[in-house]
Amino acid sequence: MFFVNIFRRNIRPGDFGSVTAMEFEILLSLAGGDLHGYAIIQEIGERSNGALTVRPGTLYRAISRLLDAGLIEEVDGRGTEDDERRRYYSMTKAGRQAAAIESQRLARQVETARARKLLKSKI
Amino acid sequence: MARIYALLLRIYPRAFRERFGEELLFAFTSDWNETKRSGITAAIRLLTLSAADVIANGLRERRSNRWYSPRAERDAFMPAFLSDLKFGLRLMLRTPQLTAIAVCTLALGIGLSVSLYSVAHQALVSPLPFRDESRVVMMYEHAPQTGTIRGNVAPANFLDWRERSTAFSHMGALRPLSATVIAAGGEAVRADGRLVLGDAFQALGLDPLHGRLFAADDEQPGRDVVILSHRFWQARFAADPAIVGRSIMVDERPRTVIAVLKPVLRVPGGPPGFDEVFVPWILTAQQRQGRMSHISEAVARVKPGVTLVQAQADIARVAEGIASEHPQSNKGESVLLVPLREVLVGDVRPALIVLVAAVSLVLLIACVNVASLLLARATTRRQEMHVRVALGAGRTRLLRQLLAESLLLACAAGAVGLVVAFWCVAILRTILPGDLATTFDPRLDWPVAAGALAISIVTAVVSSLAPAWFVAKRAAASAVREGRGANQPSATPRRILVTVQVAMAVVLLAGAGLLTRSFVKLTSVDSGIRPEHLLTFAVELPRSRYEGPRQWQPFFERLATELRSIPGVTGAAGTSGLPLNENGGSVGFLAEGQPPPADNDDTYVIYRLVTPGYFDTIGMPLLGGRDFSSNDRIDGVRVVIVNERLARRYWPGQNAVGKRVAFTRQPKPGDWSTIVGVVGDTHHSSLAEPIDIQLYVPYMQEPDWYPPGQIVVRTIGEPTAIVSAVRQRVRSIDPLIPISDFQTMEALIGKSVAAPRFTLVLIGALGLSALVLSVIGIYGLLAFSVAMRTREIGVRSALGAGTRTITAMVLSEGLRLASVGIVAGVVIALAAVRWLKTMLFEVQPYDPPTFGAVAILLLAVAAIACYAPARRAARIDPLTALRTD
Repeated sequence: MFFVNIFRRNIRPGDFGSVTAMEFEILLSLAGGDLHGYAIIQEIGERSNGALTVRPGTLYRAISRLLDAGLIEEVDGRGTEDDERRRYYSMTKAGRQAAAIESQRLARQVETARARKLLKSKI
Repeated sequence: MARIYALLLRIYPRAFRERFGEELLFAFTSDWNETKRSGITAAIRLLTLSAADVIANGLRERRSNRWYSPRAERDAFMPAFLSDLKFGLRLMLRTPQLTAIAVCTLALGIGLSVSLYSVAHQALVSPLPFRDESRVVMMYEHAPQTGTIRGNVAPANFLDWRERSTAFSHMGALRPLSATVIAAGGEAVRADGRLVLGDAFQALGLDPLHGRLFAADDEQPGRDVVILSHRFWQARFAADPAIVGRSIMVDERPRTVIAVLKPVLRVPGGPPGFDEVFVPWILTAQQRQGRMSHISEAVARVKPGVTLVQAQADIARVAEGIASEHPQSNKGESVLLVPLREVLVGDVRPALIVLVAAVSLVLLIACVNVASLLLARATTRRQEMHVRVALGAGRTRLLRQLLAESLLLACAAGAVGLVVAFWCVAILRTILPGDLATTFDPRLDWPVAAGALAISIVTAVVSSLAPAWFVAKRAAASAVREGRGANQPSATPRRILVTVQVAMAVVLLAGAGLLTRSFVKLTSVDSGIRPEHLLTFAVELPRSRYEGPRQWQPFFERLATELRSIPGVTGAAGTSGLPLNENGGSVGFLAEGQPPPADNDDTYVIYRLVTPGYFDTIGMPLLGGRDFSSNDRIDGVRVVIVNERLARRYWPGQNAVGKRVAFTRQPKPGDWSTIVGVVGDTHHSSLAEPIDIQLYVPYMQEPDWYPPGQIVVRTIGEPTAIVSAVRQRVRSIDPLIPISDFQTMEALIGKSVAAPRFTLVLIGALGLSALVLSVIGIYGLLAFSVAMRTREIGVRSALGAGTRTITAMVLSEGLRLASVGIVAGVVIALAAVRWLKTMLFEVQPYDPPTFGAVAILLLAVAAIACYAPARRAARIDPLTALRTD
């Protein structure tokens, strides 16, 4: 526990080109356009066909880490249909890079899995 | 449900919550609103998962240290606290009056207590300048059956004690000595000193700075040696270490200086602070046998490992043996061991303890006052507190702000208090009674002062923080609900504080009142003499040229003539011991025709030599018979004059003149002296003590006593104006005679009441401080209460309440508090005054006039304090009052 803590404090999202699954999901959602927190939750749910339910506590913890790491940033709300006070998040250039790196890593993994007959067809 | 969720969110670090709290809440409520329509199971599922989600992530976030790394905490705390301090300082400066009152009040309390604690600690706790002082004891002759304790012991008894006891490592005897010493530069100076027998220095633990102490063979005749005190060595021999080994003239006889002592402020007994030379005491054959003349002090050092009780038992056993061998002189006599500290500071211990208690009370009153003041201010600051709470400040945050303010206040008060303490010690120095002042040098004892200061500051912080906490709590709790002025703050805590204050002031003032009455009684005691227009001084006759009465007589006769010829002088005479000065020894005594005294304590009589004309000069009335004359010589009939107390005791209803007395218990025909006169009573040592039986002897008939070197001169004008004329006349008779101790008789009497005056002045000052502080307290409370109730009073007067009704309302509020305080104070004082009992002279601790006067005084002062706020309340204009808020 103690060691885990030490590492967790020092490693930020994007360091060593690593983001967690949750962080990657957020980045994926924001790759489609700026969203507010609750919209991210809904988008993730839709993308996974309800297989993945994100709880706000988990989401905002990840958002806070991503913000700190500079992978996403807050932008002004659109102020149209939603409450004006809603905070919108947007992926930064660094976020896009990190997401790309993570995507390549995952793609490599998927290729390997397919070569080793772990994955039969395209998802 | 959202509220519960919000509560759960507190698991997150605050900064996280502040940043995302609303968003989280929004997300949850959105989910919740969707889910709760789809049934209870889904709702419960959502709640459970959400709770687990928040708890797990909140805890992780907390543990992640991203928000609360220790360094960040530290970095953030100090600047924040600094800004708290800055804010506190601005606040203090914005209300300068309140700040000044609070700081001065606290500083007064702190200063007084720091100085008194320091002095009391020095007197009662810190070691005296004697090595291992706890083992040093003074030895007193003691008659257990009658309770008589004599500070002076007979040499023969001392010699037996030393030989037969086993519990002591050293034992020595000291006898006062006055000597004429030729100092560096050839000047003849009078020196006070001691004749030293045995190991007195070793017993006391006084070490030499240079040279060696007396050894046994120094007590042989012909070994003319002398030891100098540190002070005398510095003052008269320019602190020259080469003096050791050289020869100086002491009483016109060369003596070799063998040592200079280390500095010591006072040796017990004798003239305080002025012990200057020490010479070995070579006992005469008569002194070796003497068990009736009690002429020396004895001091001993208890062996290591022996307790005081064991030592006491050992010496009592020895005394019992001596008593059975010498029943005439020693029947019923034992020995009492008294620890050195007891001897030096025992007299003032009760006074100091009472003073420490009193000063603690004043400190408490000061703290209560400040607490009350700050409570008032804190109440008015609730608006500010509400704003702070509304902006997200928690209770700890509020308390930190208030702590910063309290700390600022307390430190400012501590700094000012330290200055006050310096002044107090300087004042204490001047009013400390002589015995104490010479035992140690009153100064700020740094460790004690620091400790006392720390305690004071803590007290100050607590007293200013308590109200702050109280208000902060209420502010935090009621931030949302309460609007400005919606309901009035409760004044109950302040009421209690003011009542407590009044009660404590009553206790202090009752003590001060009792001491004042006692002091008035003491100073109005008839001294038995006419002290005004009397100058006193001392001459020292060198033994070598003034061996006895035959040599004394021409000197004193010429001295009287010379002094009387000074213009403005109406009389001059000498005595071996002035009244009220503890000078003059006591001797065994037998009245003719009375049963031989068995264990009667009054067989000892105060014994003084006087020159003719002494009674007339000092103003003691001659009640019968005649004064001495120049015809009462050593070869004539032995005569004495007794005081009234003695005459009444032994010959009640008869004329004592013509009766005879003897100074031994088994008189032979030649031992009797005839009483030729009776004079009025005087006090021997102090006005507070009962009159002793006293007896006067013509100086020409007593070769073995001190010459009547204490001179009194009665003048028409200011006594001190003739000092230089006196010096000149004495020098014209014998230029080598040292003259010293010029003082007026009134000053001498003043010294005898120095100890009670010391206590009185201090308790009086403390009582006065308490009075002033409680007046401020009452005034502050009422003024504040009137200000807060402006609206209510306005309504009352609009509804027809007259000026008088409103004045009475405010007055009665104040007086009710004062009355409760006074009653409580009187009860406490009645329980506490028994500590004063030993310090009171002819006044009962439960003195109704004193208590009555104190109660009336406080009530009157409280009424005055209430009057101004009451007037202000009465003048409130209803229109203006209703327009406020």
